[in-house]
Amino acid sequence: MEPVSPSDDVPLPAEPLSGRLPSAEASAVEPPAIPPLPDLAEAIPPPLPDPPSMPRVVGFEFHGQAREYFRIFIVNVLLTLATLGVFSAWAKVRKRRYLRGNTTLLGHAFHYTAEPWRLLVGNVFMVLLFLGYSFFGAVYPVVRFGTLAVGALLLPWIVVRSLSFNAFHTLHRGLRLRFRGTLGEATLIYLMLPILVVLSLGFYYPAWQRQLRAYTVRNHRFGLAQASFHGKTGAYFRPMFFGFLIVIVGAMLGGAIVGFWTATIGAPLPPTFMIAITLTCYGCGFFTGRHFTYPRIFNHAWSSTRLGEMTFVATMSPGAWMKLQWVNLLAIIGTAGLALPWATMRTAKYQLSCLALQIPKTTDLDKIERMGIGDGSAIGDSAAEFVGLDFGL
Amino acid sequence: MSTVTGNYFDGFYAKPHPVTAHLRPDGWTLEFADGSTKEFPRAAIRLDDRLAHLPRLARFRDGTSFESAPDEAIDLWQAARPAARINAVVHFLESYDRIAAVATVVVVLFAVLVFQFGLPRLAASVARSIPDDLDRSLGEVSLSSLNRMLGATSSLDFDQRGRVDAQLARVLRPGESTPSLHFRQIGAIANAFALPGDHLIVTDALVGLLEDDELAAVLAHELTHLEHRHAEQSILHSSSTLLLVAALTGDLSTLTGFAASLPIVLLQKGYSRDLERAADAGAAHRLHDAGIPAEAFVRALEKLDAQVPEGARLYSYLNTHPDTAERIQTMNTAPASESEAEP
Repeated sequence: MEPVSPSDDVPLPAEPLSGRLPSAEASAVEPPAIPPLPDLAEAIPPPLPDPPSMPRVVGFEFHGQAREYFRIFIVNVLLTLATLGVFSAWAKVRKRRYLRGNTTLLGHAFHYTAEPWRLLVGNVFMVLLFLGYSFFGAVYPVVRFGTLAVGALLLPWIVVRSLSFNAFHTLHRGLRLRFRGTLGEATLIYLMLPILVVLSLGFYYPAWQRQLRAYTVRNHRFGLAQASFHGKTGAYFRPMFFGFLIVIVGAMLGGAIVGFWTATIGAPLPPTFMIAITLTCYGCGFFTGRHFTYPRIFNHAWSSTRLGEMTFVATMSPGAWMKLQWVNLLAIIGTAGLALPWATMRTAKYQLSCLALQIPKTTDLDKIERMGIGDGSAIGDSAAEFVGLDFGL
Repeated sequence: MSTVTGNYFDGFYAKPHPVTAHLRPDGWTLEFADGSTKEFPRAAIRLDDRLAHLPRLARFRDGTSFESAPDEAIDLWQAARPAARINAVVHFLESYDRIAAVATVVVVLFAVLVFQFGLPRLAASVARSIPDDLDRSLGEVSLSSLNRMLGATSSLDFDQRGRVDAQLARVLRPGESTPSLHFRQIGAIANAFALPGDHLIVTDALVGLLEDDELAAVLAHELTHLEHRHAEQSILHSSSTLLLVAALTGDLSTLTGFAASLPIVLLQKGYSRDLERAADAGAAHRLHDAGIPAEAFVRALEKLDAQVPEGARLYSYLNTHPDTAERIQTMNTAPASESEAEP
C-alpha cells in the first residue's frame, strides 16, 4: 500500500522527523516533511556590489562538528534521564538550535528561537494521545478508536500549528520565516486524500506526496518573498515506483532464503529464525528503497522550489547518499545509538552541500533587500507567536 | 563596560548593519558606522542562551535584532540572570570532552542496569498488580488475535482432551484455580504456551507426542508461567523497552531509532530465557510435589528438541528458550526438594 519512504523529502536535515503521531497509522496520515525550510533565504552579502549581469549561485553551508554535537547529545540525554523526561523539550530545542545555527547562507546563520516550554506542552499532548491509544486501547478498544478519531480529526490542526510554529521561530538576518496555510486545505490533504491513496491501492501515493510538499512549500514565505512549488507528479512517481520495487525484491529475497534453507535441512525452521530472516531482508529492502527514492525526490522537489525570483538548486548524488545512509545505519546499530549524533552531522553536512540558491541576472540587489517589508518582519503580528505549538512531528 | 561588534537587523530589511554594542548592566547602546546610536534598556533585550560556538542573537522589543560571534562579554553580561545561570551549567557540561566521556559511561551503565535489572523487576511488580478483570480482558484480546492468525481448530477427541485435563489436575497446587485449556492444531508443531488471563494453549501434536508424565511436566512448566504472569511481564517489558529507547535517542518513528534498539532486542531474548528458566524451576517443584520424577521433564524436552531441525540449533542468542542440554542439565541436578523456594 505504502510504496516508499513516507517522509522522503524532509526539507532540511534540521530535524530527523522525530516522534510520529501515534494516531497516524500506516499510510493513512503521514506527517509531512515538517520542520520546514529553515533555509529559505535571500541573498546579498552586505556591501558586495556585484555586476548586475552575473548570475549568482550561493550554496548553503553547514559547520556542525560531530564531536561537539555528541557532547551536546550525551549531556542532554543524561539530563533528560535525570529529570524523568521533562528536560527533553529543552534538549530538543538545543539540538534544533545547533542544526539551524550551524547552517549559513552568505555568511549569516539561521536561528531557532522557540521556547522549550511550548514544546513541552506539545509533548504532553502527544504523550496523552499515545497513552490513550496504546495502553488503555489494548484493553478497551473503545478508547483506542476514540483516541484514533480524536487524533485524526486534530491532525490538520496539529500540522498547521507545527508548521507555523517552526516557521515563525526560524530567523535569518533578522527576518522570520512564515507559514500561512489554511485549515481547510490541510484537512483535504491530510485527511481526505489519504483515503484516495488507499482506494487507488497506493498508486495515488506519489501524487499525494507531491501535493503535501506543494502545500507545505507554497504557504511559506520569507519577508515578501513567497515560496512556490512546481514539482511534477511524474517526477515523484518514478523514483517511488522503483523504490517500491526494491522493497518487494527485499521481501522476496527473505522468502527465498527461508525456502532454500528449509529445503536444505529438510524441516521447517523455528519461527524465530524465519521471522528474523524475513524481517532482516524486508528491513534492508525498505532501507535501500527509501534511500533510493530520497535523493531523487530531494533533487526534484528542491529544484522545483522558488523563493520570489530565486530558485533552489539541488545536486544530490544518489550513490553518495546511499553509501552515507548505509554507513550511518551500520554505525548506529553497532553502537546501539551512540553514533546517532555523528550520523546526524554528516547527513546534514551532505544534504546542505547539495543545496544552493540561484539568484537570476535580472534580480536587482536593492529589490531583494526590500523583501523584509510587511508582515514578514519580526514585528509582524505578535499574535502569531501564540498560535503555534510544536507537537514534535 | 565591554564592547562587542556584530550586525544589526531592522526587521524590515534583510540588510545587515555593522554596529558596535556597548554592554552596560542596565542596557545596551548600539553604535552605527555613521556614528548614530540606539539605546536598549535591559528589559527590552531578549538574549538567546549560549550554545556551543553558535552566533549569539539578541532580539529587541521593537522587533529588531543583533547578531554577533559568540563572545565572553555577552556571557558575562547575561550571567547575572538566574535563568541564564542554569543554562551556563548546561553549556559548561556540554563544553568538555571529559565530561562527555563520563556522561557516556553513566548513560551506558544506566541503560545496561535498567535493561538488565530495572525493567524486568518493574515488569514483574506491575504484572502482579494488574487487576484480575483487566488481565482477563487482556487475555481475551490475545486469544482472539491468536485465533485470527492460526485458526481455532483442533482434531483432538473427547478422550484425548480428558487426558490433558487429568494431567493438568495432577500438577495443580491445592486450591489453585484451573486455567482455561484451549486445544489448537498449528501444523505439526508440538508446543504449549501460556497467555494472559489464565489461558493455556496446547497443540494437538504435543498431546500426540508425549506420555502422561511428560505431558504433566510440560503443563507444570506452563502453569508456572501463568502463576507468575510471565506473558504479562514480557508484554510490559518489551513495550517499556521500546519507549525507553525512544526516550533515550529522542527518536520514535524513524528507522534509525529502530536500528538503535536492535542490540537491545537481542538482549531481550536473554530476558525471555530467564523467564523460561524460572518456569523450569517452578515445574521441578510442582513435579516433586505431585510425585512425578523429574526425568519426565527431561524426556519431554528431549522429544521436543528432536523436533527441531539439526541446522537450526545453534545461534542461541536468537532463541527465546535456553539451550535444551542446559535445561536438562539443570533439571537433573536440581534437588527440587526444598519446599516452596518459589515465591
